[in-house]
Amino acid sequence: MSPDADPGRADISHGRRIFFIWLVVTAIVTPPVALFVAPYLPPGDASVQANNQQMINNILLVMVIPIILGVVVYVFYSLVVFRDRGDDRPDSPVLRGNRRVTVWWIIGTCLIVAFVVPYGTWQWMGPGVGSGSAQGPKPIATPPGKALEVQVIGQQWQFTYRYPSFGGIETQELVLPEDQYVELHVTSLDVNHSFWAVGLALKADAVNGADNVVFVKATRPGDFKIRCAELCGLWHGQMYQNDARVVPEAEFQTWIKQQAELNEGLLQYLPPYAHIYYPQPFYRGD
Amino acid sequence: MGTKARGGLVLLIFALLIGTFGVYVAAFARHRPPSVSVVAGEDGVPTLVLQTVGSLGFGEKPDWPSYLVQRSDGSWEQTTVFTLPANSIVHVKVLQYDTQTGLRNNFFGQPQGLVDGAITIDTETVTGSDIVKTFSPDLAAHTFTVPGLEVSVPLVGVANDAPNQCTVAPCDETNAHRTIEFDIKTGEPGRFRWQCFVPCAPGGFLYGNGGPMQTVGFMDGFVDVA
Repeated sequence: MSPDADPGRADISHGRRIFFIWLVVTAIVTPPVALFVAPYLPPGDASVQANNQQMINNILLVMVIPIILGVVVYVFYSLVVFRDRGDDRPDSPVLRGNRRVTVWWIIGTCLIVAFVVPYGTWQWMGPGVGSGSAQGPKPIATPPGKALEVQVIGQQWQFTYRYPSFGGIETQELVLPEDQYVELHVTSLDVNHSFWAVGLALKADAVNGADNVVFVKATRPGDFKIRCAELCGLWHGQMYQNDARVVPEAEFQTWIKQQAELNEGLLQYLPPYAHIYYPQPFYRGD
Repeated sequence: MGTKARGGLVLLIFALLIGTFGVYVAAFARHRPPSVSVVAGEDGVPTLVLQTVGSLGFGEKPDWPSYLVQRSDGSWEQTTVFTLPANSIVHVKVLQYDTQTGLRNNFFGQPQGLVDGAITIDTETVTGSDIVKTFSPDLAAHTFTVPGLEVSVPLVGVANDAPNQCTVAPCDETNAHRTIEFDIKTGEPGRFRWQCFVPCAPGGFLYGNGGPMQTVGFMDGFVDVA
């Protein structure tokens, strides 16, 4: 025993004590968080992709709680037990590594990564079908069967939408049928934008000359806010005033028919449907 | 000059620079074009009267295209902030003095969100998809588009070779112009951004909107529904 050690505490195992306090606190805190907080994490459950993202967020939250509690318990334990009692003891001897801690740290980290990587990959490639993230022009994760193709066109400062399955009509509003896979092709007519429908867990950069594909399957009707997530000019902050609307299939068919009638005269002036559009000319000078 | 004096001078210059910058930023942030309320038109219907010009002809940016709005006394104000009554049908009349430019996205050549889908251009009233059959999107000089209200109206331009074109705003009806009239329905109170979708100023294509296209008081602004 070192001459500086506290004789009354000589045989206390602080590590073991911290571990048991952490275990008890974790056992108390984790279940209510998992049961009552996690289900309400964004982005919600309005689409298959949102559901998957929420599940991933839930799992990460539950995994991270013990880690955070470990740090908090250690800090508070140290503040209480190792606080300065005014006896002006010298600093502790320098610690030069602890093989056991190092080994367990590496094993624990590897186990977490070994779980998160395959699970995340499975979520991305499997039931999430891209998990709501864009996959470029040739998507790797694709849904079963044929998806409804809809194009998202970013332009300063509004998104518009084209429906190639219905003659290539263009609309101001994004309306999607419920319970159907939709293949969104995101592009831009001018500067970079980013199409972000947070409630549907969709986010895809809109870049001129690029076709960015993202899949979604909405699971319930409702209105979902769309906003631009890429600084695209002075009015970027106002590029959020048109919502997405998810409706039952019959209502979608009625709406698309009305839009087709409205587009009847316009179609001859729209460019043929394509995944990208280049402006002519590129720039209009003074 | 001693070290202390030099230090003081540097501090003074630094404070002046910071102060000047602060005053400039504050003035910029506080500067807003005035808001003009609609006037009561025929039969008391709230009426917003606008004019669009290809070049303002005065002020700091005389060569910029701009919108102007008519006050209740008949005078014109260069602003793009309007106040409309909530939950009302508002008649909008635009005296369009600019020439044809065409749209970057011809979709905005189709009027949207109008009461009965009707628009009157000069003396001809058309509805629905007949509008673009009659007036090609290539003829648009500007648009009046309010994304939040899902309203968009192309404003047909004056022919490029039309005589007696207006060069200094406000223009009067003896100058070559087109008259576009339509009705919109406002909803609940709120502030809605509006803009022109015709690339009617330098930029406007791949490199986006610049100058008047992004400046309140010229080619975009706010509709305050109150």
